[in-house]
Amino acid sequence: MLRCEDMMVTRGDFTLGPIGVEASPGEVTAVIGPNASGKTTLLEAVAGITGPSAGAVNLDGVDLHQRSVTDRAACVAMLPQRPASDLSLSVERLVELGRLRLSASAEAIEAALVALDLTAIRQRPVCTLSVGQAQRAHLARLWAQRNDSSLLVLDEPTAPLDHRWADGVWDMLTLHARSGGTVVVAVHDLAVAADRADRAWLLQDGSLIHAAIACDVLQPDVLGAVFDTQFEWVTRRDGSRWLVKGSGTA
Amino acid sequence: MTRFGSRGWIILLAVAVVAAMILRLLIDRDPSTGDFSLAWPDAAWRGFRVTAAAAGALIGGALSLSGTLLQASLRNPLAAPSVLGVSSGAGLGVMLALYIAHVSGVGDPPWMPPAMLGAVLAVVLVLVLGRRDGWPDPVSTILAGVIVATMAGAGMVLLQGLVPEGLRGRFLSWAMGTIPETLPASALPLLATLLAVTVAWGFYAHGRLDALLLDHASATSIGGSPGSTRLICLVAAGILTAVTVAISGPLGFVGLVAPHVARLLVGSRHLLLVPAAVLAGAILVVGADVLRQVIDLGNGRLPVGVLTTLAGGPFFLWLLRRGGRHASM
Repeated sequence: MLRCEDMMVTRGDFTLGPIGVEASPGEVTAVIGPNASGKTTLLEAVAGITGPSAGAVNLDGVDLHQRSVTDRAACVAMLPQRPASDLSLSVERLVELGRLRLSASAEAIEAALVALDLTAIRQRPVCTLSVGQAQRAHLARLWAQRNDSSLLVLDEPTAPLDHRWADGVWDMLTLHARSGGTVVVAVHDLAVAADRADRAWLLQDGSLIHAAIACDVLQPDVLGAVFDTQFEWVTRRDGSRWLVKGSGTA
Repeated sequence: MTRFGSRGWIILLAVAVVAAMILRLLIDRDPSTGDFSLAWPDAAWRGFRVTAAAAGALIGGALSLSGTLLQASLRNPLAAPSVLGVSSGAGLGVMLALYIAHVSGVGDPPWMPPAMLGAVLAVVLVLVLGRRDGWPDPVSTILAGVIVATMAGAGMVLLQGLVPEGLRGRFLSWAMGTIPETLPASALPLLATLLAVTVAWGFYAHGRLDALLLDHASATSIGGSPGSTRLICLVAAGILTAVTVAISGPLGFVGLVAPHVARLLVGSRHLLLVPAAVLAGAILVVGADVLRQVIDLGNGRLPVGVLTTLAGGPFFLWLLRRGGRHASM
């Protein structure tokens, strides 16, 4: 269980929080909000990359920032919004780095390479790959680092990917959550968030506006007030609903 | 590049270092005619040549390893020992010692202690100025290095104008870099120990060095501890460079070019890159020192730093033009 307790993070003039919120194992939580609302700052704090200026981030009852480096790498893995793409390290070496502080596991590395379909380009330097391939290589690093109970924190993981791979990555994240893991993922595509997330945290200007099950947060009236844009549900031929942007401002 | 191939390159580099050092021992030039020959040196000259060969290998290895650590820690393929302002700091230290000795009327002071002191002070200043959130920040560190180097350079020029011409000439000759044939007894053991310790740490921390190439969030997430690893790299590179500059003066381009040569041969994994870079640097400096023995301009031998710069500059331009993956980190 991930629990933020009155957490505040200060970055220059920007302050996030105070935020009190929880994410449970078995669930995928989407972090949504306009640009500069604090999504990346929140993700880096819950992943242990930056420490909060006040409050605490607890994972399974233990302050995340008090854990050892090895312990933290074993229980939390993060994929940032813009992972380094100018690497001359090979794809395979990048994936191996996911196990830097963990026991070496050829199976975990091979499984990650297979899951992201990278076996054919495993020896290629990351800097020679397309943006989408490089993103899959970084996702494979994350996948090699995880275990069934890990907290996975991802910042816009599917933005550089084509539709097939975007769907595939969402399937992997859902599978991880259903296996007992926790997933917190920032996403700009609100329709996808409504379709794939179990819960949603909605941020605006550094404050948490809503935190609830996804279908309650991802409502046209709630989103319209925050994004200053009209949203509406459309019903597809199979009867399912899809959230789309309307034609005007809210 | 296969791993077998990379290990093959390392063996080849090691053989080339030994060959270059043997050549340095054997090569002999008649100072009156300028003719050179290959012969085992007699006892009177052996000590000088052994010192020069060992110093060249250690200085080249240390400068190249410094460059390797700096390029990884600053995530910048153009990083080199000079970015920490070490050479300029050492030069200012020497120049200040010469000036003080001149105005106070004492004899010629030893050069190594003030060079070392100036170099270490420059490193400390750059590390302090380049901090952000308590740890060295790549961009701030480079900017701080540029400022410290520029200011130390201006100080050197100022002091050069205040000392007699002969003293100035000797300083300028030192500032071009030279491989000494005589040294204080402790100099090479000190450099060898520092180099061995840094290489051993490089092997031990090779995974964390690889992690430095990632973005900060990914490196932190996998447990790469980028802040502390970067600090160790900068301190190690600073100390290694300070000792080499104190011994030989600044040698241009070795710390920039040799790591790139090693990267071309064995790739970017630090497990292989660290030994390959040390060997490539040793070959570059000992090779340049061998070459200067056979170049006769009729007015004494060239400073070795001139050769490393003349060879390194065009090579690096070629590397830049070539671009692609090897210009990346």
